[in-house]
Amino acid sequence: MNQRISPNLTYHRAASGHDICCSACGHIVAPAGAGKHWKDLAAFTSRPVRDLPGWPGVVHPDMVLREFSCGGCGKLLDSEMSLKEDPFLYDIVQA
Amino acid sequence: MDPITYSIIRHRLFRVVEEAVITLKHVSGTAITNEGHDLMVSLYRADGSLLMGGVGFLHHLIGAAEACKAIIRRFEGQIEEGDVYMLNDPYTAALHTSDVYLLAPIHHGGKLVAWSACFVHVADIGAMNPGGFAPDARDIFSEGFSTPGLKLVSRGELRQDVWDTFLNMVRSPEMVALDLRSMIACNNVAGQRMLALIEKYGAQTVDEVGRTLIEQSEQLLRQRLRELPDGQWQARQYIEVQGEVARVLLTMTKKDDSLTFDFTGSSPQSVYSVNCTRNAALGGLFAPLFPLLCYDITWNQGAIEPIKMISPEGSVVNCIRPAPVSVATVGAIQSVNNAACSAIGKMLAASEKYEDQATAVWHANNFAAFVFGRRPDGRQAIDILTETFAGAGGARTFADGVDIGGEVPNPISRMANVETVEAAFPLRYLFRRRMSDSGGAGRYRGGLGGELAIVPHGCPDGGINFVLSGKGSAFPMSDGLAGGASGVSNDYVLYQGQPQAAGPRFEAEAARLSGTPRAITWGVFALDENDAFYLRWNGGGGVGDPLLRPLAEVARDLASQTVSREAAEKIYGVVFSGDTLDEQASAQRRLHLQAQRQQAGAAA
Repeated sequence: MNQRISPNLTYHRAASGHDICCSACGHIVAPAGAGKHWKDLAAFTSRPVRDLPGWPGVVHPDMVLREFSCGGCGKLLDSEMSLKEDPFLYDIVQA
Repeated sequence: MDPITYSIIRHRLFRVVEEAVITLKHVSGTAITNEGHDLMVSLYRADGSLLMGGVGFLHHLIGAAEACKAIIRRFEGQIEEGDVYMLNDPYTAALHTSDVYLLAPIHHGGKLVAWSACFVHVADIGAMNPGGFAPDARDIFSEGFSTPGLKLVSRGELRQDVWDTFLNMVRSPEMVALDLRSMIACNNVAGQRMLALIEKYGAQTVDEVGRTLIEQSEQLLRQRLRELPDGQWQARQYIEVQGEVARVLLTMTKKDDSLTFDFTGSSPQSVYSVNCTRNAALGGLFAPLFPLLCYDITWNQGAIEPIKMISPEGSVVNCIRPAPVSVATVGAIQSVNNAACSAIGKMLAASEKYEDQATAVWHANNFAAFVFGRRPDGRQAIDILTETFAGAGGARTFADGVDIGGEVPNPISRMANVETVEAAFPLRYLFRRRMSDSGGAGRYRGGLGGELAIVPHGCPDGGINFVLSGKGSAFPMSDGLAGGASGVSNDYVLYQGQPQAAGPRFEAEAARLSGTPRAITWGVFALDENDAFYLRWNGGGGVGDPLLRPLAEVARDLASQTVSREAAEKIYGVVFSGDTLDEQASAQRRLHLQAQRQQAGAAA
């Protein structure tokens, strides 16, 4: 049985635990036992917030928009706005 | 007890609070109270625990409970019928010195049976900067009058010596006196209505309803938590002041029927007044928790029991006296609000049952801009620009956020009409409107914030001044959800010295403002005869992938100037043919952008 993690991610039961999969296409973003958070394994891009439309020029130059996407279908799974030196925010739902 | 009596008393308790709020507003004369609704009224049990949380700024439900308990400890054996106590020390219970609590015991048959408590942000508290927010303060001693508890009214008689001493220490004493009288009147009405309720149903019955309500709230919240998945969710907020960057880091852990908010990893306390005390941080996390998790549960002590908080001592969310805290409510407390809103939103979105209750972060960045100066009639004016309360709705998992749609921590916040402000202050608005592109992008976009520009008008001194505690331009604060982007951050610009020959200002757009632009955020500034002050406030966070927003909705956004053409192209993957949105080319463009994402490598 699948278990919801977020609107975009689902646990699928696997032989060695639970795969973390894209809810849209079923692509395995992080296989069971990967030993890493799914964000470390998702397709990842980062761009300066200052370059985005509508943002004022006073935004901190090191502020970035991080986007975590599905490698299977290209759907956006999650995003963060952070200083580029800061670690990812790791959300964990118990399987 | 029969359920009908129980329900009647429960509803009467709600109505007691509502009528007390109306009374407070009828008496107070300040824009921050009457227009912005920076107020709170609640009822507490005899031991100071929360009985019935009211409306207004919800962080105060916890603060006033702590204030009641502090008064009970300090005045043990001396609390009498007709007393009114005052408390505004942040290191005892208040959030900052300018949010003054007045607390009144309610006696029946000579026995203390309950408390009513309220607060308003008084017009001034005698801090080094007018209006209470003191960006120049470097310790609590510079932040104005502060009491850990004093008796303002004794057995129904105003203590004139105390009253006069306090008013002798504040600017605009006539307005501050009105603030205090509004709270005394509010507590009087709450006390009278509570006594009428007790007379009708009996003290024991009313007390039993209170106990049952608290037990029910705890049971209902614990049941709700059990229905949500166990897990851990993180959020991070940045507070930038004069180049110093502080982080508020939250790890929220939900296990079975309890919820722990851990702020370990947050920055050390700041030299600036954005810090908050532990009690204030606790209030700050409950402000979004009550509406998001307890929307159908009575807000009382029972809803507090399943919640734990860890806030490291000496941090920006648990500062040590005498650290300055006067900007806490729009500083660290608001960051705690935002982080808690973000983490709770993610937890709700992880549940099939509660997905529809999830939200991105709403308007997350109050700016405190207190205007002060002489009016044409010669009197001093001090008050806030109430646009700080106008807000912007965060997107939901099924709908866009509401433009200029308020804020989560204060369900009744709002802004004054332009004409109301212009009637009270020597100011003129050049414009005030929704701010295009300010809502966070997403399948569901965040609600727009706004922008405005003001100039002095009819000032006997040529101009006026304003105190700005305006963090939030360097960093976004209204986080998105599930791929949605944060709302666009604030901006504050002083346009100085339009040439005299140009005549009065009538520029109707930011791009047309003349003079030398100066980016400002923090301190006291003059708004001289030829200057203009421009500010924009943040939109709400978005939800979901912007490339999944239907093209018809983007077209509507374009038509209503909610989204610019540049944002439509760069964020929503829209292609135009001349001035027309090309659906086929846009669909191809979106596929191309998704393929580009797929090809990106993993961060690891």
